[in-house]
Amino acid sequence: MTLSVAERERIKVVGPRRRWGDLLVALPAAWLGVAVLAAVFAPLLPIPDPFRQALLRTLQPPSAVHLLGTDALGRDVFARSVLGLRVSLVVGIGSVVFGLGIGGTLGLVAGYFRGRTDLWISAVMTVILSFPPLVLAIAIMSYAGPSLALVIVALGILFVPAFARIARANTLSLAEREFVLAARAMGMRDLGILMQEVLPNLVAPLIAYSMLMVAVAIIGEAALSFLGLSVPPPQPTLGGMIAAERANLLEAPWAVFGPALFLFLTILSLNVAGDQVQRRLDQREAAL
Amino acid sequence: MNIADPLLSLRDLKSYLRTPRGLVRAVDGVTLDLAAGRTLGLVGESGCGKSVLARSILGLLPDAILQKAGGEIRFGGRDLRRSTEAELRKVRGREIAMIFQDPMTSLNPVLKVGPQIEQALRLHLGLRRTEARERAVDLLDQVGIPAARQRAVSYPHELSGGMRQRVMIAIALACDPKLLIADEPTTALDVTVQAQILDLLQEQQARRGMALILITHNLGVVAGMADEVAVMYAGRIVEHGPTAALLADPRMPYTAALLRSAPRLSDPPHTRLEAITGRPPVLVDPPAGCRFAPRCARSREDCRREPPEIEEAGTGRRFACWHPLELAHA
Amino acid sequence: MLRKALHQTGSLAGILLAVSLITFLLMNLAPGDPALAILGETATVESIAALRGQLGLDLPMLQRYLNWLGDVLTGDLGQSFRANEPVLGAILDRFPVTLELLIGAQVVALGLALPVGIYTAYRARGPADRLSLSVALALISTPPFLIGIVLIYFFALKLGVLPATGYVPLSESLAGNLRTMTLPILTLGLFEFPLYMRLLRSDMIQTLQQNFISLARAIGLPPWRILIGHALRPSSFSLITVVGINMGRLIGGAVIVEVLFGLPGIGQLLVDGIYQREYLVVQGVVLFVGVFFVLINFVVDFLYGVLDPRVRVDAVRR
Repeated sequence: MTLSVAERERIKVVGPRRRWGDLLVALPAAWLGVAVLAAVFAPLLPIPDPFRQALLRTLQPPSAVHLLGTDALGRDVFARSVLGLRVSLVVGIGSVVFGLGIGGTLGLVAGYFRGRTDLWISAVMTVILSFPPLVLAIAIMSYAGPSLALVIVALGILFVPAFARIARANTLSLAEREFVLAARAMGMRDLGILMQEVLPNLVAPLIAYSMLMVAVAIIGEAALSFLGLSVPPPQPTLGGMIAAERANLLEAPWAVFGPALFLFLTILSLNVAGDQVQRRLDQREAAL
Repeated sequence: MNIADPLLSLRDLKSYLRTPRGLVRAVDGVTLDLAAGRTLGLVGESGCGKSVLARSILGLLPDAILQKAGGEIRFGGRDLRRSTEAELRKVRGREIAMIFQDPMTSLNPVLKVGPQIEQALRLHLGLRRTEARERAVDLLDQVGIPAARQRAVSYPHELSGGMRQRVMIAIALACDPKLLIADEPTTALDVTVQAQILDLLQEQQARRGMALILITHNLGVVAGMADEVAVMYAGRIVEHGPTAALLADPRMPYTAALLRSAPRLSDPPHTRLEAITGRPPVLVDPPAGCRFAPRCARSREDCRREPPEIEEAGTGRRFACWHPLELAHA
Repeated sequence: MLRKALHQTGSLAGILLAVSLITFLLMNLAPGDPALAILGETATVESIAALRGQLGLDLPMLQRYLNWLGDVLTGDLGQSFRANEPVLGAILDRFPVTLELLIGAQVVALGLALPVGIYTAYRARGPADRLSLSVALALISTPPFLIGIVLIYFFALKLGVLPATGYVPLSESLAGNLRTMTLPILTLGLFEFPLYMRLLRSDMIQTLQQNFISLARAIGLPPWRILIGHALRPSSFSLITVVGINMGRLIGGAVIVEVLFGLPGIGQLLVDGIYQREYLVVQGVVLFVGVFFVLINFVVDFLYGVLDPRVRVDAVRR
């Protein structure tokens, strides 16, 4: 079989880049998969008790027993990092689901009904956006006191305007498309149209964006816990561990860089995978 | 025509473009001479390779896209194809200038008009700021822009399309180039303005004695201005000769078809050529024989087998066709 | 023009009012009694009642908001309990530190993003482009305090060239100030740099495909003059907007950085206020930062019009 010049060119251009792109999805997905599994099954893992203090074995370097060494109270850094990651993931996903649920709904409603409804929703979004995001979360946490649910809400509120904007813009353009007009002409009610015609088309753009936002939320949680404004102790958080152990940075860098590595790899994986998903969606969009 | 010592001489020029769909043979073996001071009309449908040819001469296609598949561009005693980027920069704007199709987007929107003319003057002629400013105003005046001094401090968006094209011409003329390449200079303009711009080009060319390559899909434009016409189809020159003779007596069927469908100045740009059925071939994988054969009423078996080479046919005419039209007016 | 200005000023006032209301509600709707929170668990019933009266907590909510707003408008944000100093004074004392940090970080971020963004756009998909995009992705994936800790680890602990904590005011010693501010500014700058770099790069890549760039090349201009003289300005509009808007994002980062490096800015004031349950201080800082943020965005909107001649003309025509 002979290939035309065109076909040979195509293979040359697409081949390696495609494989590289697949790797860029596979590696982060693998890390995220392991992270989620570890977070879910943390109590069952064959790792030391993350809460047990051993004041004679403080700041031990990494070893077979303590993979990432021990902290200033002699607790196992690896086990605590796994628990901390659990908080990061719960808060990261929880707050984005919160933002997606509320923001997505508001955007859908604003984009579909437009007019006065749209105006009011936009006004509320403008007010939320009038505060520097992290400062708003800090303020909420400071007044309300630390708890898991509140961290999720405090960070989740920050995502509402962005999700609302995306949902609104997409709904606005979808509402003009033939299939929605057809549904309306056939006498379908607003709620039915929203649920059956508009919503399914919003899923793809919102998913890719959500992955990137989970990364942002995890950074936000880390910042809050670094300030001591996230989930209260004794529950370990990655930011809290880093804050507590940074006094011993020179003697026991593992106690800081251990949880830092968990944090970094998770956020990086979400960003890389999210970028790739976004890119593929864009390509699909362009192909349509 | 002074064939012995042409100003610009293309020899078997090939410019292939790397695109996602494959390697496009946009210019595929063009041989052409142009003497100093003369006007060549380069004619063809959209996508026939005219603009790529023009950009190839100035080396304006990025290395990432262009594959220099071969050929020579001899100009002023050197081969531009083998010149370095630094050498080419001394030619661009100084000896060969170019006017682009769309004056609306070809001027920098955030710079005032005057400074956009001044940069070539300062770069190539080493003028100082104040001198360059005076020259720029003078140039604006020469290309027929009223109240040139005031216009020099306008932004492009404050000018009409015709005025912007005049500014583009002023930029091109700034350093008195020996060759001006005008790529569809009137396509994007109002009908009433088109003739004015063409008049301006003709007037300036005569005054400065520069050569002009006028790229257009519009044979009407060529008839009034060009000394000679080259017809381009699918990356190749298919017919070339003195304007009057070529228009009166086309030999290549494509030229004849173009003439039959010749749009008037009054037609909107990019009007489909209705008399020619079918579309130009995709230049990723061109047909083996004559590239016009699939659309040609006169094509026979042999046309599809082997491509005709462009050959001299006396009185300065060349064409590439196995079964040419007879001379009617000879 | 005037009508547009009036309209904008009107909406600005509305937003500022909303900011004040949210700040007020955050504190007053929060569960628990502020008086109890201030005095602690050991407080007597009488002292709590006295403090409630002093704070006006007995009044209806709307009344309390209006009273508070009136005080705020006259520059009275209340007194802190422990230090017993005016909250506004405390904020204004600390603000220069934060401002230096913010401006320094913007300068660092832009100082890195401009050359890197321009070069990578010019050589898009080349090795330098891929490298800097990877670095940018890594920085985006790192919380600001972690960037700071890595810098502390190398520059303060390993190399010992810069202090890890502490602050020397500018008025005391320029060199000392720079020594103490370098790492914080670098931390915040590196946090911000990838955002600017990627934005400039992608806008610049688009600009470089424009026809006027072809013309600039056809004139014979060298690449650097095309990049700087022709492509940069049309590519920088969204960058400028984002740089302005990002003062807000940076304030959040500044809180973290100030705590990490022990800088006495308003971020530190906010966090100390939270730890010490100085709720008037917290409220004051939140309000101050909110107002600062809104005003910055307002100014950025305005500047945008000045920078782009096309927008400028539209505004005049309107």
